Amino acid sequence: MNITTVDLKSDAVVEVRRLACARAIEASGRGRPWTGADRDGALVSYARRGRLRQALAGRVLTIWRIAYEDACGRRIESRLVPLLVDVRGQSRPRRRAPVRDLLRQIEGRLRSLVDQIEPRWRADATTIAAAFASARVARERAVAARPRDQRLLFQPGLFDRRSERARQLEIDGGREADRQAQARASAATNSASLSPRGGELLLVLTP
Amino acid sequence: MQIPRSGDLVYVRRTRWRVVEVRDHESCQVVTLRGVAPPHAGLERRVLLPFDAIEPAAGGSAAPRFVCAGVWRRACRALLSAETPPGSLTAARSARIDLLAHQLEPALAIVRGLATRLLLADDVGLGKTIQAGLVAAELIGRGAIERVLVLTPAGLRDQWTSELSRRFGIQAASVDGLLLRRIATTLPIGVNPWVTLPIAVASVDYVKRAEVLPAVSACTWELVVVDEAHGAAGDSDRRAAVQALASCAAYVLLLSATPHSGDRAAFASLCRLGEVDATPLTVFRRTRSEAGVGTARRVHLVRIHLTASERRMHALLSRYGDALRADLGRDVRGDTLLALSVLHKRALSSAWSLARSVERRLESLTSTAADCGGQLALPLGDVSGDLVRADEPPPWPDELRLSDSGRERRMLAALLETARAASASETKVRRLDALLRRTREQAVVFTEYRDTLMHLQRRLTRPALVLHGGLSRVERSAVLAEFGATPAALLLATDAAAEGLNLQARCRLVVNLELPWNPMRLEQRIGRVDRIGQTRTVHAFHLVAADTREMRILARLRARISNAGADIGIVSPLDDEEIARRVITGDVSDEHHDS
Repeated sequence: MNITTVDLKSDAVVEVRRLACARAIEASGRGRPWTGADRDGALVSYARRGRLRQALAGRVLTIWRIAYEDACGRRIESRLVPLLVDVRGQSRPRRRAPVRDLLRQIEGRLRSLVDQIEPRWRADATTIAAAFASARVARERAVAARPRDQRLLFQPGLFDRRSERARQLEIDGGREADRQAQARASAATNSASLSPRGGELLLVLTP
Repeated sequence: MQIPRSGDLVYVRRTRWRVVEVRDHESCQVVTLRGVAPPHAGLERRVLLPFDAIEPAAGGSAAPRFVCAGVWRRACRALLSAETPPGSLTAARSARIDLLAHQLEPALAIVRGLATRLLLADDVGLGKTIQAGLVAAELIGRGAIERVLVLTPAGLRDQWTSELSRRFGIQAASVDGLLLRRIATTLPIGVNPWVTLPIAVASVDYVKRAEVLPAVSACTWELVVVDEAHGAAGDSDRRAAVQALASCAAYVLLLSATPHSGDRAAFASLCRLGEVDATPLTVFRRTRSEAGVGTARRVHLVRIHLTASERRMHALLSRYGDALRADLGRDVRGDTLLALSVLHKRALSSAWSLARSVERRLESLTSTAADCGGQLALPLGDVSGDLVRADEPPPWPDELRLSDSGRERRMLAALLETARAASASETKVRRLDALLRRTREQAVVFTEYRDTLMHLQRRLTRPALVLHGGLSRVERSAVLAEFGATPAALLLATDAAAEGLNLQARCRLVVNLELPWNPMRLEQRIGRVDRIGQTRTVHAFHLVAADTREMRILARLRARISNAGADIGIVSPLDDEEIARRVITGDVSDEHHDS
């Protein structure tokens, strides 16, 4: 029998902990969940509490997202990257105009920095995405290459052509299914390639 | 019109959207959009280019937006909770499920590219539906698949659609003949109604029909889930249909708590479902103890001593069998012997059940009408595919006849008379009645045949609900709702009707009126109440007629369980006969078992 097993027990336990943590973070807030993740522009706020300002110690917290997208442009893997920018000595960081100016100044430099960091995550993301895609592609190719089962025996009707029509429909259906299988195999191959998406600034917290 | 890129902000139908994905097709593009403003914020929608106008949104610059601390915190919390490392699951976070490690493993295996064809063969009640739902939700969420077909026994369609919707937000259509006809009336002639159903839950027995299968297999199904896949293991139309659909799918999930009946060839056949190349089937089989869930199970074997008239009935049936064998001589065929053993099975189920079979046979012997037993029955009375026929009496095969029809009629008449006399006061029914009188809990009694079921309902002193293959979807739902709502309800069910049901919420007592030949069926019966969510010790009673062929069945069951155990590891559902005897005779209290 052609069967195998995979041992993901310990990974599943880790995953349960991660998911429990994610659910706890989500449930910890009051009010309805936030749905504006895809709005344009980073969200900027000021640290109001003393302890938070103390923790920031004159630095601006920026949270970025780096991601990989497939050939269709769908975000396949992503990661949040926090960066602190020292702004001690900058004037009036709690006013909107200086914050805008500051972000304009640093965004380009930070983006190029963000695009290079997290090499381990990048390696993991591409490896796992490639494994996922190659398993799918291999299966789709095998499906497309599989000979189609067709009835070998066929008895044409003596007085009507219903069975011939049914047979013709079956043959046409088979051809169409083959065409679809080939198309799916090539679509899977095409969408298997991943490309990195430039860093995206999501959140800014000023001291 | 310019084709947008993913990440672009666009206006579609006067609303602002972010482009998530642009998928090229032959002469159009499917553009997936995510809403950025109420009332569509966060929702995904699809439009077709060039049929829909997509305009780039002006002012979609990345200018920072100043927000109050509360909004910022909510955004931060949402981003942090959605953060998913490579090879982890995204759908499980928002799914309405308890997080159990063993349930995540199949989805993890798929996401990491370790498998595309899986057999989920966990013990009964460990949440295979949830695991399949997770896989589907994960693949849909990643944009890897769009079309899912769930093949299930007819009675579980509603349970599947409800679970997919409630737990994973997947809106699946419960497909039957009526729905397809309704859809077809809204479509141009020649358009396959299955194409319009991206996520379909259908009965495997409906899909296998010659007039249905071509339309189903003409569609692309990227994920095919086969629930109770052991039903498609043998050489049958069901297997052919499942194989035709699964071998075209990108992902295949076979679900069965009882994949191995002790028959290695059938197990190998099950493992080949959906096979297209040398890639092996990935098997997940976890026991309750491995998964760290489930309560204790006590299985009690109750030996029943038959009355004189019951013994005489079995003796007459054996004599009829001997006469048949002597008559057929060396020409006796395997299927003739099988048909004969089915008669013995019915006798072990209930004298009433045997009497009904013999009655029908005598009627056909005396009838002058043309015999149409060999003609295939058309599914005319079951357009929706709801009905299950496995619990109906099997037809009497032509080979099962004596050359001297007068002698046969005499033998059968004597057998019928004895069976009727025995059915007036059957030992098993009395014992069952005694057992049920001792408890005020909910209980489920299983039998293989509908005739026995109806007989039981008439004979038991406790009022009972019945669940069998002849009930429509609405009737089944009503019975299950009443069983769930009535504290001391008694449910009489046939295997065919009760497969896959979740009855653990208030019930922990299962009684098997007769032993099935297949150990998987025994496990399936107990598994209706012994599953995740059960908080009390489960009690299963097997009523076995001593000094009859049922003891041989018991020995054979043990051998088959041992076979299956050697191949994939199965816990025996047979033990504890002494305690059961005491419970029936009233020597000990129920609580004694748990100690």
